[in-house]
Amino acid sequence: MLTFQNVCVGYGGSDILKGLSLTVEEGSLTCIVGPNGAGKSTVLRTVSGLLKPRKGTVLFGNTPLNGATPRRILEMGILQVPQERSLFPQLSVLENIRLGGFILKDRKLVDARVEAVVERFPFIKDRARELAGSLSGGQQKLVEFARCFMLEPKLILLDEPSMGLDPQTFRQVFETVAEVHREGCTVLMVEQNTKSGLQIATHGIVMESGTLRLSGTNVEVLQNPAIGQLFLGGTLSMAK
Amino acid sequence: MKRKRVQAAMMVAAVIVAAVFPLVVSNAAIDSVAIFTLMYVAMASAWNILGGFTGYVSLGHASFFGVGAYAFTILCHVWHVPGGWITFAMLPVAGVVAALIAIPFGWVALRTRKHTFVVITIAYLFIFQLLAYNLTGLTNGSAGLGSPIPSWTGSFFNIPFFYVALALALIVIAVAAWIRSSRLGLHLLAIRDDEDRALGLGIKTGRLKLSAFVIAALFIAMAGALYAYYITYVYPPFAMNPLDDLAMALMSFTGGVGTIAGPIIGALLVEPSQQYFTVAFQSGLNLVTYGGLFLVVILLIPRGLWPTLRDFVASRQSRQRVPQAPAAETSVLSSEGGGQ
Amino acid sequence: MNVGLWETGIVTGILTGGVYALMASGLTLVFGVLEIINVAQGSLIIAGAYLSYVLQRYLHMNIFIGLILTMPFMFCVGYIIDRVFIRRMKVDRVMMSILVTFGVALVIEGLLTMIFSSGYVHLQSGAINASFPFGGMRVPYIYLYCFLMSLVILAALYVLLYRTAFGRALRATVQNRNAAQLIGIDVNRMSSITYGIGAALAAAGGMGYGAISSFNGNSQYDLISRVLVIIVLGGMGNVGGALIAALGMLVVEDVVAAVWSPSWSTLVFFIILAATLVIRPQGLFRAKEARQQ
Repeated sequence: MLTFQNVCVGYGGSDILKGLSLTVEEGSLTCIVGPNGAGKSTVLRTVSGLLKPRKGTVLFGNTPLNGATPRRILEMGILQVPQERSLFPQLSVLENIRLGGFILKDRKLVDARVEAVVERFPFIKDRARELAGSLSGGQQKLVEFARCFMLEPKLILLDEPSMGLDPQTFRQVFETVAEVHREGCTVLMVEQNTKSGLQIATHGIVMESGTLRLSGTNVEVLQNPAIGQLFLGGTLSMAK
Repeated sequence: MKRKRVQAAMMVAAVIVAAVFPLVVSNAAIDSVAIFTLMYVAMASAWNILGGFTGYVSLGHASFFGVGAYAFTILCHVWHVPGGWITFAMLPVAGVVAALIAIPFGWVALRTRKHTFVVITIAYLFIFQLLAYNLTGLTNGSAGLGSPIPSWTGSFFNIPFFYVALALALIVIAVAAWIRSSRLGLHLLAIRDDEDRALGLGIKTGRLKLSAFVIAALFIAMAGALYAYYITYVYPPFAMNPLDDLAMALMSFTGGVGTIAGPIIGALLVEPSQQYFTVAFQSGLNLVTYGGLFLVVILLIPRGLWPTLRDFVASRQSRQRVPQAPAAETSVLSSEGGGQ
Repeated sequence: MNVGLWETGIVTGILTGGVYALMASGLTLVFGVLEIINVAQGSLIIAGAYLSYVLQRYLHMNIFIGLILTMPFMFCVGYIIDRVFIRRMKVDRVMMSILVTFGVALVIEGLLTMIFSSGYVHLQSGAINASFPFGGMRVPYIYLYCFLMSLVILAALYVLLYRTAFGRALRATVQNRNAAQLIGIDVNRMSSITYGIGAALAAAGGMGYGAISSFNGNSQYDLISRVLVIIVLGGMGNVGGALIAALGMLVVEDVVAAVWSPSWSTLVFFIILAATLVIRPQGLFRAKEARQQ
């Protein structure tokens, strides 16, 4: 569904992605792991059009994404939930949800979608009128996630969804991700928490210094001895 | 090491060229431009200690230029200092007066961060300009004050000013270079990179920022005093000129803000061309040319001439040897996996 | 003491404060959306004043009706300035923007000086010479009209920001620029439009300024410093704060001018700024939320 062919991307000076090639299967929940600075988030930012590849091709299905504006990519059904907060703190929760459908021209459709999203994520109903900035970090993450469903996402890009969350909200977020995936949406996720990330995933991708190190099903990746070394004897060995 | 030696050689050559300049070129108009240029070398280098090293871009330090000019003129009147060689000894005195005045102003301004700081400093310029107009007992208001008239005249007139300006420029450059290579400089750069983290690492950011603010004010004020002596007159719109604020920032950014060579190169390029535009074009057109040129430089080479040139040379050299990634911007606080 | 002086100060302060609110709202809006300090606002205001001057002098158009032409024209000028200069800046936007917009200001000032020379001019209108009694004094009608014009335009701005889909998208961009981009808002276009709105507000503010006082190309420095002080006090990016700060500052300034001396009144203006920042470095009102995270 999503293919990187020898992609080089950087911010000004040097490249972060150095000739990266990878594939994300349709219907999969793929988790990218790797050490700090490997370029994991850069992959997502390249897909969503915030960064432009200097070299190489990014294909969505058979359509090249190179040079498409963030908006065009959004219209294709690729949505990104970034690592940092992406709600508008001074707007209400409902306004935030509604803005998720900003690119839709049909107001009736927007109204219908808002209703559907509220039905799907019932906690939004209770907090609809509150300012988004007043929600806890975990709730904000869930609202950001819910906002994706204002459009019909084919591919959701999640950048470190667990960051800064307490264990309970963490589980809640991960359960929601898994549920959305079961309903047929492809998810590409970057996760610092390697073990939990790979466990809910169907596929894993290991990156190191801007290149692909390893990819396969989650079990293959989890059981590969090489990644234990990559994380300097980190949490992965426990996954067995 | 090799690059250090090349830079030192370039420096010595530049000083020699500067030292013989007025002996070779005896055109008074050109010498006058050279004096102003050296003054701006000093001012831009001093400005760069604050704006370049700490990242606190001040658009108000021209007020200390004015304070220096007024302090010099007023103190010469009060102490009956005649025009002559001894009068140059008043430059540091004027500088110290301005530095003392800069302390409370710096303290207030530095309570704010980046963009608010800039706005406050812009306001400072207008505060000092208004004071210069309104404190008539001290400044004689818009009529201005006459400074001591130098005892020498004729074709020799420019020579002493030239060498004093050169000395001032060299002193400021030396101080800036010393700061840059000392712990103080390292801490100032840390503030520029990430002030909160610098604070977290135990760096006394408040005191350091204020030091940079006051050091810049001290030297800029000395240049102001020299200016007042040279043109033998001081009055508000010339002493506190918003264009001087822009000039110091422009020169630093043109040459390469935060580097030692940058402000020097910037001043050497900008000041003579501005003087030329003022003479060559009608009023208005000179501003258009100056502003337009400025925009071109800032937009095309935002990092400034010197760093751009240096990296260009460095990347060519490294390409000849082992292919390696171009060095990222030097960061004092190691950026752990920043912007992945 | 003479109560009449206080009254004069307060009334003229409020009436002229409206015009400053207009100029400041444009600047603070541009800061909010583009995250830049638009030092060129002063020269845009003066350019707006000169446009009104041209329409009134050569086409004998009423200066208020002239806004129908000058505001859209200045909107286009602002839009183009953003496209050509501001959008090119990628790194270190806050600092670079000051230099770039200062450069733009110089070019505009230079052009105005070339066209109109450096002599002072001011706008003509029947309302400038006629006055109405208020308390124990006479207030020129132009003060009142400019104040009413400011109210109307600011009300329109409020409706645009808080009652339209465009306004919601604009506020979203102010609060979180990256997130706005991710939901499909074209932040570049939004920036150009906002800069255009800022310039259009400058056109109206410039007309008010030119009707109340005389000006030349050089007046931009005085203006930009005052308007910057206002938006800092109001909390940068906070339009409502800018309005209150503009009214407050102008009242203080005019009262000082009336009861003490006009030459010290502007200084009081800046001293209030310094005093405020010692107590509240973030300005009187909270700056935009997103800045503080």
